[in-house]
Amino acid sequence: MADPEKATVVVRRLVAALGTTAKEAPYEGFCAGDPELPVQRAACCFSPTVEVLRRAAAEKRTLVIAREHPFYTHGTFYASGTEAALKEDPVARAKRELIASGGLVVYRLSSLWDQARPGAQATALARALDWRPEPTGEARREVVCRIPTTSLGALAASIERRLGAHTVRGVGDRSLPVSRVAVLTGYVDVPTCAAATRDPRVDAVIAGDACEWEGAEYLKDVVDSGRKFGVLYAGFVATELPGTAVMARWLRSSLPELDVSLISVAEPARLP
Amino acid sequence: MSTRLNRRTLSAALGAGLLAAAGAPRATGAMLTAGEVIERVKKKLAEGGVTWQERPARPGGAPGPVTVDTFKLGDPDAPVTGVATCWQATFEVLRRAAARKLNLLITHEPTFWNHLDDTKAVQEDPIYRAKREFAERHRLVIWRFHDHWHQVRPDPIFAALTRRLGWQTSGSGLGTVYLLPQTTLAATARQVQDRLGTRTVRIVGNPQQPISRMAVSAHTLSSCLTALTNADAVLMGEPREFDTFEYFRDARSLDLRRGIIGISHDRLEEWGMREPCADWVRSFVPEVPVEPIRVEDWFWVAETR
Repeated sequence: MADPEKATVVVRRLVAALGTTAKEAPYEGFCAGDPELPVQRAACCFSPTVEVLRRAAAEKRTLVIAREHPFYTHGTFYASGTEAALKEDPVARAKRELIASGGLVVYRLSSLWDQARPGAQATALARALDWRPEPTGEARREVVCRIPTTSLGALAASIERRLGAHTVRGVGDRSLPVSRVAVLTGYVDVPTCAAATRDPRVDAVIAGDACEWEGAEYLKDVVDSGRKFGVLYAGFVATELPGTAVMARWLRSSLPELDVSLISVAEPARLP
Repeated sequence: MSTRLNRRTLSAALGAGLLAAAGAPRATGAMLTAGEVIERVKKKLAEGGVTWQERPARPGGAPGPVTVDTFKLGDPDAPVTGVATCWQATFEVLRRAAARKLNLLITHEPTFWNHLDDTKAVQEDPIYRAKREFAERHRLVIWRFHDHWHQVRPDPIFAALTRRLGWQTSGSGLGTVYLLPQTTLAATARQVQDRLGTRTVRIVGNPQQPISRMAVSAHTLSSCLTALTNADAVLMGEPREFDTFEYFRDARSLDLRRGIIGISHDRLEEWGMREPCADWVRSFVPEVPVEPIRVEDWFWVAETR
């Protein structure tokens, strides 16, 4: 049997299979651990949490392919200050030790996946909700779905149950009839919100989380503008998990010689 | 330009003189402008030890970025019929201000969806156009009051929040640590729900974790970690799910006793922009009505339980 490939080689093949020439964003790519480690098994996850890393180590899944960063640096703006604040932090220290002692290497696959597969995360979420995305002629982050007419409040409850989420939040009139929904996942910025609401026939947007002086304020203003419109925030994690499962399936089919398992994570927050 | 400045400066001096002389409304016919109101804000701040800075210092003392406390929309020379103080100039707040003929809005947060209210990218956006046209039609003037209001001591935003919560500071130099009778994370979160009148209070951590020292923090993980130094848990306005919730999830997995109670940005900060800010402005702007405008809790939670 041939020697197992190093993580760098596996990742090079993975990126080639994605077929994108896009560049990784800051805080993506190899984030922790030794990229020269030989890899026989891999794990795919949304956030590389302590629980995920423990399980990956126990199952000797050396390469952890994650949508998010192990040390909480999601993007440049919010990461500013985080790295310094975590230098002596007990959580970050324990996580670093866990990665070292577990013989793990963490690779963050986020914007490359999104650029190679526009709308993949949103399509996965829509399908998890049993909705069929309308065909679109262009590469967009959101998908639009026609659904049996319901109220915004009933839709919130149904999404929460279906996704196994716990903290779905709504903005707008609960009794608003909804039949055409733009589906987004994760954290959404103003251009994303503006694009998803451009079609006036869209009467609700589903997203994960948004900044309350940026995207969330924009969507609130859409609600306030007099348009019959509502917003549901189903959570950053809950909206991204279906797409992570799709990513894991793609990894298995693209790297057939590698044993890849999906390690799921629950939504972290609860109402008291 | 210089004519305008001269006129404004002259009017401000006249206004201040009238105030100093009698504390009475202006003579009929003299029109108070938005620019004059803001000059008085600056003067009042200076009297309280907060000097106006185009680049306010960061907490460590280094010069920060250019202040966001500037006019965002409307003509500073426009006559003021009334002043509204608010946490954020959302479309709904603009409507309420216009209905009450309060045409100068003093807002803590941005109007056009980014920290600098940079509108280059949204010029063709239908919501931007609608909001702007509404403001122009009602001759609204919007001025942001963020950096310098936070510099008043004690910070009026956090003072109003903790007054509302009924939390006491330790008084032992620990800064933002609040001493609570021994309780749990979940019970503290329920208390926050009741006292701030909101259902959208989220916790990450062990609900049964004992709590006696709470910290309060703004919106970044780094500020939250600093606040946590001497506390069992932190109350945070608008925590980001992608970093802060994940951090506290990991802390719980590691059995570290750290918890977070997350509330929306407006539930954290609105209290200090309502009566405290309106009362303060009214004390030196007696000529026109000065009223707080509530933003209301934006969010509701799904009814599945």
